[in-house]
Amino acid sequence: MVPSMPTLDDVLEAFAMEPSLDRNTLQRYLRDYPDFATALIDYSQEIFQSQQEADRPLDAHDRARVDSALARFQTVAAQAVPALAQMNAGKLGELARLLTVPHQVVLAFRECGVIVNSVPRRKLIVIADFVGASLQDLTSYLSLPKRSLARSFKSDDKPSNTEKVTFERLLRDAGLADGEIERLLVDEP
Amino acid sequence: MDRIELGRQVAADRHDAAVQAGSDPWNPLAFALAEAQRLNIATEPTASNAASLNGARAVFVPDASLILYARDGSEFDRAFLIAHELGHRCLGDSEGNVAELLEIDPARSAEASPTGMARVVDYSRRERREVQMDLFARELLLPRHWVRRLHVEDRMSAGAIAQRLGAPFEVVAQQLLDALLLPIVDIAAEESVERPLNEEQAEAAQHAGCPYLLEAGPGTGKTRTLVGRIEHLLEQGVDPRKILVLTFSNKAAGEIAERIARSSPEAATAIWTGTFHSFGLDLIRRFHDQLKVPADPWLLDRVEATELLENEFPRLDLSHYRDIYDPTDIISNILTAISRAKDEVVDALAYTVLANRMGNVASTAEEHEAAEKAMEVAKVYQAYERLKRQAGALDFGDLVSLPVLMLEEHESVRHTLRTTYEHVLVDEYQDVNRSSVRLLAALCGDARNLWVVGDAKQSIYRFRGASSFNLDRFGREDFPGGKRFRLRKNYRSVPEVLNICAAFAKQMIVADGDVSLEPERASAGRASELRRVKTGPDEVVAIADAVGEMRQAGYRFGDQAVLCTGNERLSKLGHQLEALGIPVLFLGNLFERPEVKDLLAVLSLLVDRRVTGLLRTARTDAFSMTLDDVARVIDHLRQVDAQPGDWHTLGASVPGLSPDGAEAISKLDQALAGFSAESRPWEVVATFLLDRTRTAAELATAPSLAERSKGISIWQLMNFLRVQPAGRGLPITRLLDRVRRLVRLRDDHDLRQLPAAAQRLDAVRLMTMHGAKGLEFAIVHLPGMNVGTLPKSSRSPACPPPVGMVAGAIDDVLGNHKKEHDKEQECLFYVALSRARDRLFLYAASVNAGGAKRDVSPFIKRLGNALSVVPTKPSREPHGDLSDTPIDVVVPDDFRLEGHGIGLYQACPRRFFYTHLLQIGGKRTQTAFMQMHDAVRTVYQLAVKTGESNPDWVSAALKEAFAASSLAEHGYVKDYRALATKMMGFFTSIRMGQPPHEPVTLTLWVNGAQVSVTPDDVFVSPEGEQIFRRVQTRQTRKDETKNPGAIAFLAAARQVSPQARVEFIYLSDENVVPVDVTDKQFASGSTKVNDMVSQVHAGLFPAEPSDRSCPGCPAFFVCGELPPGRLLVGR
Repeated sequence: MVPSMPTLDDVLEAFAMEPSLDRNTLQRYLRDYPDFATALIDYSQEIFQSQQEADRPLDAHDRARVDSALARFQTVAAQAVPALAQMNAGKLGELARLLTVPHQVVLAFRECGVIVNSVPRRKLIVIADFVGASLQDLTSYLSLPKRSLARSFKSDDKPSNTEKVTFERLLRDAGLADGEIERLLVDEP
Repeated sequence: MDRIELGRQVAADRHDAAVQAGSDPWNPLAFALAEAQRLNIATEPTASNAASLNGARAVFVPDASLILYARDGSEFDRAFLIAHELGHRCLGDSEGNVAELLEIDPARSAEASPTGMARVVDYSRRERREVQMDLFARELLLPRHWVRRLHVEDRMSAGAIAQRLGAPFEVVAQQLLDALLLPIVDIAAEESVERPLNEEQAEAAQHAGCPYLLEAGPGTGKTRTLVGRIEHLLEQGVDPRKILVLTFSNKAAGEIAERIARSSPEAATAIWTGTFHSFGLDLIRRFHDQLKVPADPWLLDRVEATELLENEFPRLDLSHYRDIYDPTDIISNILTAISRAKDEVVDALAYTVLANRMGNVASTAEEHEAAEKAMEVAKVYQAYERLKRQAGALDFGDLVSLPVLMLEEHESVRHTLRTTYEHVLVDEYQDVNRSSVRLLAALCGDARNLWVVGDAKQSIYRFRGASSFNLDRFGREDFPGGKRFRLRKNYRSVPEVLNICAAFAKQMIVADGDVSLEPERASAGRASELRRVKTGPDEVVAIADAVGEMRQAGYRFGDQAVLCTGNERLSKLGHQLEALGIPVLFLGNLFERPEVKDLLAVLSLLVDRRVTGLLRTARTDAFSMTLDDVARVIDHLRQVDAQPGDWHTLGASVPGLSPDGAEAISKLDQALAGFSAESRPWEVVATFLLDRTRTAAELATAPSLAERSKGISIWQLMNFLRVQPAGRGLPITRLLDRVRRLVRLRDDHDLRQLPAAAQRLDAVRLMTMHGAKGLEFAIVHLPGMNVGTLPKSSRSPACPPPVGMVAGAIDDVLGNHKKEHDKEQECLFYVALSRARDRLFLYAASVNAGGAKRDVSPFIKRLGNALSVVPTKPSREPHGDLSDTPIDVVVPDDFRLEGHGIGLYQACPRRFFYTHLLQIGGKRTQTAFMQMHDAVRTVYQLAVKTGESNPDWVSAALKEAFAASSLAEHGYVKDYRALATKMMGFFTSIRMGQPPHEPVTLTLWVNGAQVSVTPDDVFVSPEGEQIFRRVQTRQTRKDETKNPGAIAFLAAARQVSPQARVEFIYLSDENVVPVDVTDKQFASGSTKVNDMVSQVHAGLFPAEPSDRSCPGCPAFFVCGELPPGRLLVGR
């Protein structure tokens, strides 16, 4: 089955869900989904205006819509690279060994927590190869909003951290030595 | 609790297996890593601010079999984080990787201490899960059985274990306290299947379409049906986030949540389950902008609220509720009135309006007085609200009344909440008050989906405004169109017990229609009995006998409960039963327990310059001293005017101290080495128990249940000490003051509850009828079934509410109060009866101590034939009272008895012993009021000596006296000065310019002893009479001028001049009361003084404990059994 790309609605819903709808976010979406550029710009203006109008709490209907849209969006996106989105512990370890990075780095890829532009192209190719996806599909998948590790049930939870980080930051956080990081950042085979 | 304990047992088993497999428990990080490996879980350190941690310290990602943990912190910290996350894995958690709601805390207590905020906001179900993981982790790394062995057998201290492990002392100490002080019970995983609903329960659970009140009597499966209702809603596809379940106790909320979690754990997390108060707090936090309160308001307890108002009291200018000596009680009474007003959603303004209206329509003098009193409460209410606002604080009453007012006012908020919660369920509906009903009305709209369950016959929370009135209104004024339904099948009790319940229920004021229950259980063939004994003390033996009989019949101690009408009798009854060999599970007032006092006394050694705490430490084996040695130390420190802590250096060099005494002092010095007045109380006591003494180890290995109870109460004390409100001053001094206040205001109530871990001990449960609500026991014993004990007579409220405040009440405020009281007494008895599953034993005496006939309670008479009356002769003689044992004192013949000691002896002989024979008085922390009184005392004494009365002189003298204390820096110094000036104005006015007088002590010989009386003022009146005066700065106390102290004063004055007059002057209420007694009164007073002298010589100093006066006694923390040996007074 050919994985389907997110539809306009999916992208707009995802955009609306972003924690911050500033210029950077809009530019990111414009870059990632150039096909939907006009719609995205119109929509961002509409959102901006409606925010001026009232900061009304979401009602049940809104929330249900948002929830289902997000789920739909993530499903669609995940279908693009199922082997990565649903990667289990064993595969995750295998890929980590292949890339010579800690598990947490691969986990960040799985959860779309890395800024795709910051990843050396070679590494992306290795991953795409490992999960049996095209480089383009992998790139689109990684450009999706970061997944929170689990969608929790209760509405009054602390907001999750949705910031994506660079590949280098992932390596530093994982505690790799400088030389090791340098080696991993080199974009040559 | 059981879940937590189960988790700990799993952890301990894993620890043992790991040690078997070769892991080294002394290397916690390697230990935790190896354990993760055994479980096939990868572990990786990461930066503490790494995005993957999402703000937490560690995270477990189940589908990646990966634990990420912050790499900063010590090796032990990291080991703990890994162990915590392993808990999520081992205890089967799908929620493992959601944002952590609580900080991971290695030293966490299994239970939140029931004071302050923790009383309202219990852990949520998810938070409890995290608590469980913290305890799992601690158990995995240092299981209780291991630390216990290290401490008890290998004699390692907590500090030594902590050092070798690289763990914080606090963590090891907490684990040791759990291991040594709490019983560890093997809990088998419980069968967690709910019984299917019966037909009537199912009908109730499936109701739809209109508000619904389910009347569920005792044992009819109330909670089961409520849980069934929730399950039904979930089956119907209701979004669990839209279900709100409100209860009246955290315990009930926790139980409901756990039961739902068995069938649908995710829904249990999503459903909002909690008390009205915690729900109110949640609303306040969510809408704090609208309410103009801080997002995280500070919650005042009664002690803090009293302190807040006390400061303001001099400015309020009250006359009916005036007490400028010690306003604590009045403030507390007014706070009770304010809290009642909040139950009725009557804010300060509305209260003022009602009070004004009373004033407008008042015609008689009493009505005017009642109106004025209400006005004064209104005035305090307004001040209180202002002060709270300034402090950014709320009180318990606000938690429901503020949200009610907000919801009623703001349509938009109401709308939001109505769409948020589609189904509202209420447990124990008989306990609602007006404010909870109004909250429900605002939340539920047409209330089609309101479902409540309750039983009017179990309404026992009148003091917080609950009234069966609210139940009556359901379906009519409240939630019109509502339907009622009644469960009839009782699963708890045998027919013999149910017959008794029914016989009583049908005559209850709140009874409505047929209130009988159908037994599901078969007859046990044994009727309930009233065992009629001769005297009150016989009752205790009769209970012990019956407990024994039931043991013979196969019941455990733990299957039996003794329920009392009030708290007062409990602790005495407990001691008496223990003396008869019956193990009893009962803590009582925590701060009255000897082992708790022992530890508070140890703490006091760090702040008390007279080290009176020695009186308690001297009784322990480790620091044993004779009474005489202790008295010498106290005496010496007084003579050299020692400062706190001086005893460390001075103690061993006290003249005449025995070598043993000196050694005890130096051992005590070592036991407290490194600590000072600035130390944290928890740390001092934990170190003392675990590192410097073997106290905890000894308790842990003692075989008797009494020793186990000691351990439990110390554990409870430690849990209390962990969290103390921040404030000014030294932590230990603040703590000790707070304890005194808690007891004085009776706000220590929740500390009387047993920690959950103690509930499984095999011992007879001893509690009040109130406390037994919601519990059940195979055998229930009810002592004190005499007239006068049950029902108790109604006492009028100290500050009656204004007319019209209490919804549904008749205008006769006091009459209404009495009616509600009578209803509640019936309900209490019904609750008590219906706790029994198999058998009920009631007890009544037939004569009182004086031999006069005592009738049985009128409630018993209503039971008719259902109860068989059995005249009973107890098997043994009852025990005497221990506190009456004489003290071995030698009072010299020339001992002078101070006149004011006479009154003290009458009030409490033991207090007299401490203050006059041991002389342990000394100043405690003083309130501004006390400092003002001291200043006035200094100035009037000066005025007597100098004969000055000029207002300018008074003003200057007061200024100087104020400057000598910290009062001069008080923000309201002007108000205090005004009060003091007024008192002095009265004093000089009644002295009428008499010449100066140097006080001379008068001596009176009584029964071979000298009684000395020093008048505060003496002069000759214009009529030529000699007048002797006693000046009190406080207000008049009733009958003070008739008591033996006043008689002795009069006798001493008459010795000087047969026509002398004695007057008592009270400056606070500007009163002059002559000591004017009949010959008979004079003779009887003299006899009492006479007797007292003999009793002092005989060493008779029984204590007369009272919640009101004990907290103010200098011996509060040391009162009790004395060290061994003889005391030579006035050596």
